[in-house]
Parts: sequence; structure tokens; C-alpha cells
Amino acid sequence: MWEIEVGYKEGKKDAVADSVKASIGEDLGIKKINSLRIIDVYRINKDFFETQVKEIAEKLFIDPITQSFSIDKPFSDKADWIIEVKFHEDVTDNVAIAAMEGVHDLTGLGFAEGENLRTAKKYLIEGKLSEKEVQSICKDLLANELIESFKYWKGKK
Amino acid sequence: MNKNELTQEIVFNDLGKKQLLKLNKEMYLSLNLEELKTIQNYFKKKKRNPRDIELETIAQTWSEHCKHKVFGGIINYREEVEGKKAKQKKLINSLFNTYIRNPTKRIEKKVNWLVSVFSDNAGVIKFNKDYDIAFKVETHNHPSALDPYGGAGTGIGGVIRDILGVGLGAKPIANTDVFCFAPHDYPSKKIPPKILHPKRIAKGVRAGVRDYGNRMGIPTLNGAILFDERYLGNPLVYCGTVGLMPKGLHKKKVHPGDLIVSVGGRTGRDGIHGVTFASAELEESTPSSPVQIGNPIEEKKTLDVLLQARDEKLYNCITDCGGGGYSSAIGETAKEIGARVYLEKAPLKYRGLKPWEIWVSESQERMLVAVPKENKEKFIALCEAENVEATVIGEYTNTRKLELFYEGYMIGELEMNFLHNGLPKRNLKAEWEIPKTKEPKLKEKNDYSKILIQLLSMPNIASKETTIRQYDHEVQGGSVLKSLVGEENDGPGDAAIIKPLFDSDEGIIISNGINPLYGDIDSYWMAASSIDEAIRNIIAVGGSLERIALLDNFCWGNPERENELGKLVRACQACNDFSSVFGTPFISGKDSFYNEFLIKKKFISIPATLLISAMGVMKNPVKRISMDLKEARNLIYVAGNTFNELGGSHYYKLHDFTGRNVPKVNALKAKKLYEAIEKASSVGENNSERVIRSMHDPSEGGIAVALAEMAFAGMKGAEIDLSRIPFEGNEKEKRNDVLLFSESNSRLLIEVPEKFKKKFEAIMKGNVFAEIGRITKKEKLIVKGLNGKEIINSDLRELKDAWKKTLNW
Repeated sequence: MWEIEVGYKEGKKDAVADSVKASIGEDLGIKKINSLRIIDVYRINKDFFETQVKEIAEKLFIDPITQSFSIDKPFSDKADWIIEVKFHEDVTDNVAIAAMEGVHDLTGLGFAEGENLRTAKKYLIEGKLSEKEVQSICKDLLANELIESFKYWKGKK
Repeated sequence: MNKNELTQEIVFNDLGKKQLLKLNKEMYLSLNLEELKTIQNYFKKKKRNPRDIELETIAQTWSEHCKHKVFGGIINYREEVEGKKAKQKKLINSLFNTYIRNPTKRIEKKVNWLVSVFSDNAGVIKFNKDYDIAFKVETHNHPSALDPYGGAGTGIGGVIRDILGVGLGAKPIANTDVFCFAPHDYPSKKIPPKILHPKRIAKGVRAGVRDYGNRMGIPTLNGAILFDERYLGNPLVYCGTVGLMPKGLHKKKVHPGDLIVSVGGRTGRDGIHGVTFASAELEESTPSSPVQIGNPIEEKKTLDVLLQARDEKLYNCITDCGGGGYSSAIGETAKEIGARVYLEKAPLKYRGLKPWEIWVSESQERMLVAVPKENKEKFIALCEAENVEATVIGEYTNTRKLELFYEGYMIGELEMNFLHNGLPKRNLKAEWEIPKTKEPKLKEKNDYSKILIQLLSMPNIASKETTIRQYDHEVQGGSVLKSLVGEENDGPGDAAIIKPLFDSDEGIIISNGINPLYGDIDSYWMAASSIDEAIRNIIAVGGSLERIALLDNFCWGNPERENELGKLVRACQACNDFSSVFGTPFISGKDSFYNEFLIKKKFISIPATLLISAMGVMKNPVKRISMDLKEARNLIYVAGNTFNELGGSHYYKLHDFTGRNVPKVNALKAKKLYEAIEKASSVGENNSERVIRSMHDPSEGGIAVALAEMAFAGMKGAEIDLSRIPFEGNEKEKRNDVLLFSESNSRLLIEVPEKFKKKFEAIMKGNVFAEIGRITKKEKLIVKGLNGKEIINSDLRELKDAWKKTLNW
């Protein structure tokens, strides 16, 4: 099992994260957020060498100009709160399907029965929020509990 | 799986009433007692109990979604007549045949451009000498309430596959989308549990449409967004697609021996019971399995490869796997002959699906084609080359039976005749009573500038630019008149025009009409108004009445409530009356019932909502007319009479009233007027020779809002005099607010250069019209009231800002 995390480099604009932040302020009325970053998580449930995983991350998952990645460790945990959202097991994950095709094309190795790749998103939030507010962000904006699950924890500052 | 796990015999034949209904609920069959008993009789004759897969198949095939039981049923209708005590009674055998198909049949005798109506996935009409065009609008309401992003995306995906599956396949060239939500500023605290906030639904639906439509490379050219509190737990998402197909491809026929090939996506557990679920009210305990996740990339690949196979004539028949999945698609195509299906062959997303789950799953991006044996290798090879999965899962037979197998075991056997003709006709009761709403008494004001600003900021009227801009409306390079027009590319166009072929002149105009507020007074006039609105939008952009086809899309509450069904009967009667007089046939349609939701043990029905979508063929799209004012000193005309028809208007809504005087339609007069306008629109080649420079239809908000929109779209001022507006009715009711905000139908505001005054008036002779003012150089809208005093004096920039602000999120 390998875990690749992809995020924007310091100072690079992440339009999606900006719009999520704006929605939290406008739609939920939670205006205490100083910054919000989004990390894409790819969990590869298949044996690879570390060099292969590095190649997959570099050639498949990042835009090398604006983004970088980490392998098997958090891309960053510098945040007041960290939220992770992912699809339930039996819900079709299109990004994961495309990623598996990409891995196959790049390495020549396909995913056998029992092997797979799943994605998740982490939201790193800086701001003095109460746990109740974090829950509201999860339930009312980021995750649709019918198809997605979420968890949250405190980051390191 | 061993044999016993594959399929389960259901204890059924010995069940009594109560037990049958209990089973019905447990299995999500959504059938009624009479239907359950009919099934019981069938299996009693067969001297065996049904298996799970057989009951599922029947439930899917007999679902409201597939068989339109309300529209085909027998209705005992009672109607209250003004001034009479006794109710007028009528027995209606099939609303659909009586009021929708009949007018089309009558029109069919007079015109030669109807190609395929009401018999396929979409309606088809003639486009030019080489091509036909298909149009279909679907609804995807309940899935969008649960997962707005996925629900809207799969709604688009589904209607695109309808177009790909019409005849032998059409190429999708344009999308149109109409949404109804609760107000975006609805207080969060008042939202009941398990219901998403309307703004979240709106944003999710918009993103779903954007991501699916844009990735498919199909322009989204037309639409509408409406808001009403009663859509809170049950938003409406209408998705429509127009397709282009070479002439002669509208017919298809399966032959015994043809292979049943599943093309595109794999089958998973997603979307099981979507169809039967659509026939149930939303409750707090609604299951999650109806949620489907779409994959536009998969669909695009499937679309491209199937159009190639179509051109190489590799298959005899094509249809989409929509509601009911394989069970509906195979059941429908094999109706006349029979089919044998080997369910273990269906490619799956993951292991562990039971055969009945594979059979009824509504997983997305799957098409079904009938391939003659001799084309099998070629067809599969073509799909493989394009990286699209194609799998033979069975064959068509001449047994007139549906036979289902899994790993060699027969797990289901049903006679086609029972499956398709065994459904008992539904008997329903309907009643229409004259509503008790009254006209309010509003005080007249000396100045209406503020009211105009308030109207422009109402969400139904406000600019939809933030949404429209997220959609690709340029892809495929055919849009001739865009959704947003004018000096600053932000004016609200009446209809979109595309010119789909590079080497041919003809264009297609797409428009819609919808106004649920009128339905709160009388659904008959709501339907009439929607038809008139859709048609006059086509006239407003320079189109012609000569070849306009209509689609009906009814979203209604529970048809078992007599008053809800009464409203439906009234609306259908209007469809019959007005499509006949206008000569605009219905070619396809869709109905969605049980649009109601439970809050605190109380059912709330959505407003009866009818979307009329119209498609017109335009011979020469160069003659298009946009709605923005063009040139200072040109004259402004209004065509058509204004009545005291503020009932259901936005002016009343602003004051929290419904009113009584709903806008009516005089189709004969309207038709004559439209034909004259059409004539005037076609005069002149260059701009300097055109008699009509801009045109816009007053609808929501009346003449005041329409004129404001024309003015700020062109950023040209306008000055009009209300006393010159032709008014019909009691002179006492002729008031400034009536003239400004009445939403009377069949009217158009028209800009005419002074040099063409005589020419224009000569063409329009015999119709009601009047010159009411002029375009000015100042960026101001000035309206003189009946007493000669200014009652509106507004800065255009201020009006535009108010109009653009509300939905700028």
C-alpha cells in the first residue's frame, strides 16, 4: 500500500481551494478562515518499488510547475484543522479509475483482482474554528454523507 | 455462487392483500394492489411462484417511468364550471392519446416534416435535404435531491444517450437545462434533516451540468432557473439534448439471431431501483442505492465509437440503458420477438452482484446494440481499437419470451405479451375546482423606479450569467445567437440559434416556456402561457412559425390526489388546444410524478410544473435578431394587447400575492401577429436594411422589465409613454402598474428605425400594435405614466447592477 499526496507549492494559486474558502464564508457564514489548502490523496493498493511510485507521482499526478508531492507521509500537517473526505467503498470513483488506467499505461502494470487505487481529498484549514464549525463545514459543504465519508483532526502548528 | 444463491423463489401466489402490499414495500416494487394481483394470476396459471428477478423485471417494466400509467390510464374527471352548481363530468381514456398525440396526428396530415414522433427515445423532425434533427428533454429530480452533482451529471448523460439511441443514432449538438430550486437565501435553520440547502443543491447541480456537458464537448445553449419554496425537498432538474442525424436513419429493427451487445460502462450496484424509486415520495429514510455516478469520458468514447459503427452499418438497432437498466432496454427492444440473456457475461465493476442486481442496475454510460452475427468481429474490433468495452451478453430470439440465464441455469422466464401488455389500465379520479384566490388591492404609486429595481433583483428575473458562463456554449463552433447578447455580452437572449453544418445555411432555434406561478391559479392557462412563451421566444429571435416542434415535460405531485390530477387534466387540455391552433406539434415528452416531500409528517407538493421546450428550424440564421437596443432615435413598438393580467405575476409575488387574473392566450390572434412579425423580421440583408433591429418578449415582470433588459443589454436609453400601449379590458382597470407589469402573453417589444416606420406598419396592418417611444442617447430608462408624469426615471447602470447581483455566486 502506497500513499501519494499532491499539493500546491507555497505561494501558487489554487483556484478550487479559494472557491471552497469563499463558499464557507458566504454559504455557511464561517468567516474566520485565514487559509485553506487542498491536498489530493492517492492510495495505491498494489506492490510497487519506491522508484516506481515516485515516477507515477511525478509523471502522472502533479503539474511540476505548480505542484509537488510526498510519498507515505503527509504533504503537510501545518493547519489548525485537517479534514479528509472520500467516497464510500462501493461508490464509483472516476478519478481513481482514470488514475489506474494512467498507472497501467505508464508502468505497463495493471491492477489485478484485489488490487486497486482509491482517492481522497484533504482540506488543511488555518483559523480558530470550533469543532462544531468544522463539523458543519464537513456536513454542509464538503461531504455528501450519502456517498462520501469524512473525518477531521487537529493539525500541528 | 451456487444455484440457490443465484435466485430466490418468492412466496407470492398464496399471499393475501396485506401481505402483497408488504412485500411490495420491502422489495421497492412501487406497484399497486391491482397490478400485484395481475402478476399473481399470471404465476398461478404457470403453477409456480415468481423468482426475484422476474418480479424485478415486471416492476421495472410496469413502472411509471416506463409505462406512463397515469398518462395512459382511465380518468374520471369532474370540473367545476363558473356559475354552475353541478360539476361537469368526463371520462378520459388516456390523457396522452386524447390531448397530446391527437393534435400531433391532426397536424401530421398537413405538414411533411414530422419524421418520428412518440415512438422512440426522442422526437425527430426534418432539418434539411440531408439531415433530420432529434430533440428530447428528460427529468432527473430525485437523484439530484440526494446528490446534486452526480444527479445532474447523470441526468445530462442520460439524455445524451437518448439522442445517441434514437433511430440508429444521432450526434448530440446542443444541450438545454432548466432547474427549479427553493430560494438560495432560505434560512439554514429552517432546513429539515436530510435535506440539502437549496444553494448547495443549486451549486452542485450547476457543477454537475458543467462538468458533464463540457467534457462531452456539447454546448449548453439554453435554459432557465426558477425559484419557489415548494421545491425545497424536491428540486427539478430538466436536461435536454438536440441531435443531428443523416436522413433515413430514424428506423431500427432487431432480428431474431442478432447479438445483444452491451457497450461502454461496466455494471455496478449504483442506481438500483432508480425507476421504481422515482415513483415514490421522498422520505427521510430514502435508500442511497439510487445514486449514480457519471463518467463523461467513458460516455464520450462510447458516443464516438458508436457513431463510427453506425456509419459502417454494423448494427441493426441501438438503445440506451437508462431507467431499469438492461431489463428495460432488452425488454423493450425484444418486445415483438424475444430475447435470451446470459447475465454472467455482463462486465462488472466489482464482484458479488446478484443476477437480479446486474439485470436492473442503472449504472451509467451503457448502450445496447443489436449486432448481426456476421458483424460481430468487426464491431468488437472497432470498439477495442477505441478502448471501449463491448460484450455480447445474449441474443434476440423468436420465442416471444424473455429468458434469463446465469452460468447455465435458467433463472427467469417471462412471456413478452404479459410483460408488455399485461399491465392493467389504471383507474384514477381527478377533480378541478375554481381556485379561491382573489385579486389584491394595491395602492398606485407616483414612482415605480424602486419597484423595477426590486423586480430585476428577484431571483427568477435576475441575470443567470454566473451559471451560463460556466457552461461551454461555443464548442462545436455552431452557435450563431448566444444565450448572452448585447453591448457587454450580458443581455438575456430570448432563444439560442445554432448552425450545425458548415456547408449548409439552416439553423436550429431552441427555446423554452415555463411558469409554475400561473399554475397556482389555473394550470390550463399555465400550459397555454408556456406554449405561447416558447413559441414567441422563437419569433423574437427572427424565427418562423412554419416548423416548430414542441416537447412537454410534466413534473407533478402525487396523481392519486384528485386535485393534483385535476390540474394535470387542465394542463393537458391546453396542450391539445394550443398546439393545434399554432400548428406546433408535440413530438416527445416526459412525465415525472410523486414530486412531493415529507416535512414533519406533512406532504408538500411541488407547484405543478410544465416545461415546454421548443425547437424551430430557421432557413437563414443570418436574419437572427438579438434583444439589445441597437441605435439611438430608433422607434420602440409594442405588438399585442396588454390586459389586466397581474395574476401569478412577479409584481404580485413581490407583494406576496397570487391574484386571480392569470394571463390568457388568444392563439388565433397570436398566430396572425407572429406571422406578420416573421415577415417583418425577414426584410433586409445588412443591418442598415433591416426593418426590425431588436426584439424581446415581455414575460416575467412585464413590459417594464423587458424594456429595462433591452436597454441595459444595448446600453442605450429608452423613453416610452404608457398611454400609448394598447390596452384591452375595463378602462377602470387601466392603471400604470398594470401596463408596466402585467404579464399578458403574445406581446413583443420591437425596435424599428424611423425610416422603416411606414414599411413596418404596412406589414403589421390588421394586428394590434403601437409606437410607444424611442431609443435615446442618455443611459436612462424613462417611462411617462397615464397622467403624463414621469413614473420611472432610472439609470441603466443601476438597473443592470441590481439585475446582476442576486445570483452572482
